[in-house]
Amino acid sequence: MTKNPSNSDSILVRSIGMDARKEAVFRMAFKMFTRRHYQLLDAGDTQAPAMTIIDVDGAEGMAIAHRLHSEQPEQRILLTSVSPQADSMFPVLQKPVRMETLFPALESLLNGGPAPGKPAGRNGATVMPIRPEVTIPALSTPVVPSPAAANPPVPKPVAAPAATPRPAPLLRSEEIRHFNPQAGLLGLLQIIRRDQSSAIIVNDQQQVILRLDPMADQAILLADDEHLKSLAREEHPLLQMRAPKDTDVPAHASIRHLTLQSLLWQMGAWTANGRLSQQLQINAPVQLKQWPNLTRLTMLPDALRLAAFLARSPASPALTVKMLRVEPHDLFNFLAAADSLGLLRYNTAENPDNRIQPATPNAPTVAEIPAAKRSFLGRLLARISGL
Amino acid sequence: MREDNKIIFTGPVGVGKTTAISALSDIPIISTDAQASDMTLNRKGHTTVAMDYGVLKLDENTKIHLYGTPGQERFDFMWDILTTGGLGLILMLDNTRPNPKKDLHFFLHAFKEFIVDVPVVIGVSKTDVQAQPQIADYASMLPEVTADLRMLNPIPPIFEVDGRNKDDVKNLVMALLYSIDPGIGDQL
Repeated sequence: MTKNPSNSDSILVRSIGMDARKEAVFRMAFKMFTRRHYQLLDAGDTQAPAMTIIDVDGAEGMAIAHRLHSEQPEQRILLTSVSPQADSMFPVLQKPVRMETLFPALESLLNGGPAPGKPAGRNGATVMPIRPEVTIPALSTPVVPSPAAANPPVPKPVAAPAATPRPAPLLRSEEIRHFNPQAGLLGLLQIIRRDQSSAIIVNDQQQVILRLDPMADQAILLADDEHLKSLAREEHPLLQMRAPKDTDVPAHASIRHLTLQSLLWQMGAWTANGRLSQQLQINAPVQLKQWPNLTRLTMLPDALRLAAFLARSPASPALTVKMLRVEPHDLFNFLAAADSLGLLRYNTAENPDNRIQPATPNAPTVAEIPAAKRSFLGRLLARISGL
Repeated sequence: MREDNKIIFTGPVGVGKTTAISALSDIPIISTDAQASDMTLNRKGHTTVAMDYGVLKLDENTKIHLYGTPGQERFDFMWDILTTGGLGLILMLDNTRPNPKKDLHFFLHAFKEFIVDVPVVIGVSKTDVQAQPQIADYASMLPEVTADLRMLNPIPPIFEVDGRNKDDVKNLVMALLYSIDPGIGDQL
């Protein structure tokens, strides 16, 4: 018998046709949703679920849903699919599933509609097919012209254009490449930052590449960006580190000044080059200790979003890609850059002080953002980025 | 006026709130500056004694109201009125003031009811004049300063900013929006 839960009950949900990664996404979504307490049942749990979510893009497809419905006609069933069928007898969520469509769909199911057996899309109150309503323009292509400084005209409305969801990036664990952040030029820079002692880095011909003063957070660069980038990507470059001398930097040498933090951030991203640090695991959580000082560091793609997400709660790289739909190489570069500044927490046996912190007991819960507000925030974001 | 479309700028006298709002506003900001008559005179000749007001228009009917609170503590009775229904708080700190940690404590506690429900972002100005404390120092101060607070985002963005630099101000506001919902940028 399907139970009608009150707001305070746990609402048990069974998943069918999903791998562990997809289930983890639902678990995270349920955790972030505070209005009701949804709970995804573990495999083998014999409790009766209030509803079942079936991914019908697998081998058995719709046959599973029909079989379940014939065996348990009262069971509430929600399907997920990349290509929902308009005449499905069950409500179906368009994949990739988003929070602002998932929870209204679950609520609708709990409230009794649509009933299995009727084509769900033909009833105005149904949830089928469910596609994201929110859309904003790409940050790189602002739709609003910059207003004139003095007394600008009313800006062109920032409308929500037709929905064009960012494609869900593919993240296949077998295709993930790794790098060792303790090797090469980045490794030398990390040692200098850790030891807080001034040093220079020279090549095999004893030419100075970098002069570093970690106490003053200063770096003098005697190589151009292309050269530094190529050095960053060599795992075993012929570089040495030694104590500085007054004569290291010739009087008329072409030099650039940078903060050491800026250099480390950039070198972290260049060294990663789309690879995941060996220190991190694709399915193990990471968390930001603090936001990077992004107004004074190279702005990496999606850095603000990633910082906001990873400062809010721990999440694995796999979950981050799934939830934010960021390109894995952008995420990996961001993680490498943040880790080069010591801003990441993750669990390792070697560094117990760096373990993920449990949630603060009195931290307010993050409420689900209603679709209308998301749309408004998206328009505001587009407007700000276009200024 | 739609109450839900407000962003609040706060911080001590002379930190650059008015300049930051000017960088975003579509209209010349309405500012109630007056000749300073107290300790403020030591830091600026004119200061905001009531509030600054600017507008960022999304379309003819949708506006974001940008409010700057007066910097002096004796005007804190106004802050509750200003913040009602706000989207978030932008706290600007002046690195040249004698005790920035005290300012951090004061302003976060002054807005403690507000920041339970909305995120706060912190911009530290004048770091080119006074390098210490550094951003990492502010981050280290936060757990102690906020130990008795409930913040929606207990790990807020802390950025070096120059209120005259539009990109800095834009990044502050964008960080605020992403702190409300990191997912808002996941569409093409």
